[in-house]
Amino acid sequence: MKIAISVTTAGAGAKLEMRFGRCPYFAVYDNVTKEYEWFENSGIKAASGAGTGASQALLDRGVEVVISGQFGPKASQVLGAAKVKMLLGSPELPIAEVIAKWQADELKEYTIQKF
Amino acid sequence: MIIAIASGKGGTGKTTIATNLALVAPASQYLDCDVEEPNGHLFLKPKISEKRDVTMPIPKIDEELCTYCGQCAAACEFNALAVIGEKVMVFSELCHGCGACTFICPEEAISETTKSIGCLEIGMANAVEGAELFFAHGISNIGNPLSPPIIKKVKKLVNNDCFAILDAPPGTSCPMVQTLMGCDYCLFVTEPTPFGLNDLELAVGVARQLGIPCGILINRSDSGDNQVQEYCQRERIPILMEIPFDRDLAFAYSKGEAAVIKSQSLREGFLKLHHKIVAEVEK
Repeated sequence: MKIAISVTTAGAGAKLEMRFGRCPYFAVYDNVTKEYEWFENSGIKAASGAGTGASQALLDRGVEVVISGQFGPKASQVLGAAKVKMLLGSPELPIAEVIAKWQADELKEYTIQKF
Repeated sequence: MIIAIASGKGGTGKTTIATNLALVAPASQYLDCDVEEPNGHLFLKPKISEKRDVTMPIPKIDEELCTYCGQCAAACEFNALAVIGEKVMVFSELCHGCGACTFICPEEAISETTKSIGCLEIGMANAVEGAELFFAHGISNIGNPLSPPIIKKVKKLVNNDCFAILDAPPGTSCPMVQTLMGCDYCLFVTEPTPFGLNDLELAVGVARQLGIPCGILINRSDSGDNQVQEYCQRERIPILMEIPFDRDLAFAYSKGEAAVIKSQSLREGFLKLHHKIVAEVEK
């Protein structure tokens, strides 16, 4: 299974980034190979629709779980429609600890808010 | 002749100047392009005779033909489309109506439908000395983030044989640029304060980029400091009029009245402004 995390930077020093659509990078963790894939979020430069664009990019990579600090209304609609699980983590938490918390089933699920 | 009344900073008196000028200038038109908050009608009190819906195209997906290839979502500059498995989501509030998705779809599964984004109201207002004035404004629907398509429609009503006055939205972003494009002249209304000057400089930058000659009107000219005058001198931008703070003017404004209706001296002042603008354009 692939788990995406919105992160502040690529690589070892990555921490969880509060924003989903406008985070600088995504880390995609594969829990079978135990490997990370890092990619730049093009949404950070988007004039509009950063959340929908980032969601689409994750869906195209076959992600089934997303961990972020917060999800916007449009991003959560897209991810929700794709039945992707949205989980909330604490901002600034190092990525290894985020994964550990996910494995321990300690992350709260994001519930879609009506706007 | 098309004249934009713009400012950069909000609240400097664009509408006050635009409406009073429209009332005294011969053969004038008043077109309110501040479609997010049009307020010229409060002072001109036009009789509206026509209302037109303003729409923009948005994509409509034929799920029978769609193969969910995702090319439409990839082509969309505004991320208004998402393709999830066997579902296409359209976020019409993000769509700019560019038509790229319709164009790129290999299955011709996308057609265009329309969405209402606002309306135009057109009518006539009474000007000074029994004359009549063409009036129009655009009104953006609440929550509609795209005002330029509405401004474009307002500008279609310009009669080039008239002295067309476009009341511009504040700022220097797309709605202001859309209003200024194609104008013969831009009159910037500013106040002589550091805030006024900062935003004026940005606005003059836009006019210069668009190649539109401009002049300045300093409102509440007896307040603030001399920085705006110094800037105009340095940049060789003519100051066409200065209006000192006037309690009667403020009182008329608060009552929704155009000041030129009652004040002979202001009427003459605005007529002079009209002559100066015409002379500047014909220079």
